[in-house]
Amino acid sequence: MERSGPLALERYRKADGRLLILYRWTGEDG
Amino acid sequence: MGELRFEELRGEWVDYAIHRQERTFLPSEEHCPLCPTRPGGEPTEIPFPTFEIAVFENRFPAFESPRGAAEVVVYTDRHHDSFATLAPERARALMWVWRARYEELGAREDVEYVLIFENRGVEVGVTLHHPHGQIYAYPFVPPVPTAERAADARLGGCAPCALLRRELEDGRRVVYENEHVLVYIPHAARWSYEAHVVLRAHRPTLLHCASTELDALAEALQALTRGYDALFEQPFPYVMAVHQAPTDTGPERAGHLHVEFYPPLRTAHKLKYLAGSEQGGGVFISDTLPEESAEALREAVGRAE
Repeated sequence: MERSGPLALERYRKADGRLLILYRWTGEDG
Repeated sequence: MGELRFEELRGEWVDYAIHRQERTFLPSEEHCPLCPTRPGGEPTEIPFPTFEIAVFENRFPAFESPRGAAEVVVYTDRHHDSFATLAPERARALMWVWRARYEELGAREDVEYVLIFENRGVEVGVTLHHPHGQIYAYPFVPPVPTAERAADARLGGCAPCALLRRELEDGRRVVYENEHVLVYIPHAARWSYEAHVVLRAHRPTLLHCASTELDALAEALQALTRGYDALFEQPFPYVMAVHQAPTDTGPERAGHLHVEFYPPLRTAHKLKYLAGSEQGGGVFISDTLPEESAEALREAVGRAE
């Protein structure tokens, strides 16, 4: 899983090719 | 794909994104494209039953690769929340999302300026009520950051740093402050309740901030937006814009992170319109004094704590 500071993120491609990123707060600086 | 045309008389770019005419317009809650996709329900932009913060490329982009980008930032899966009512932890997380998108988009060769913004309320043209903001990654440096660079040159240093000192010394227009952030109605505000949320230390972008500064920024933004809602005891429309350093490769990369709010209301029931002087002459005419507006807004921010 990718990290950005205290966030964990997951990247997806939608059916039409557009980027979708979901971010989740972990509270810990990664 | 849109088309950029240069308007010579004003010396500015105009973006023709005519596909946006077909974008979703004020759907009912059950057809909201920014809600999560519920099991057995209508598919939305986010094909998951729950989420915290989602970012996706706009289906109706004003800019797209290889000439910029347009993204949507969904703050929560709860349809009836607002920036002001997010849990403090979620608002803090949003600062990190903004930071991450600024970094990634700003690193692209076709992007010279990253603008993170939120339009709130039908008064400023919102077409979806679900709490969200947007990001435009421009393939050029727009007029506002260009003017900010010119202000730096005119004042012989960082203009927001100088203006912050001036507002602190005067004090009459300050509406909120914490350890790292000052919020004030500027000396020459265009809008009655325009507010600037400014980092006390010189930080060109979100990337330059310590995590404590990002926390303080989130806290200040929520204090202000809660105050806005308390001011007239109704949801308060605004345009919010995050100002940061341009990401072009020019010699000058100066900038000072701050967030500006442009609320169109001048009273609880009256809107400020951009009319003859504002559009024809480029001169704002204001019906209110910043010092008086600041007093009312400061009281509302205190009441909303």
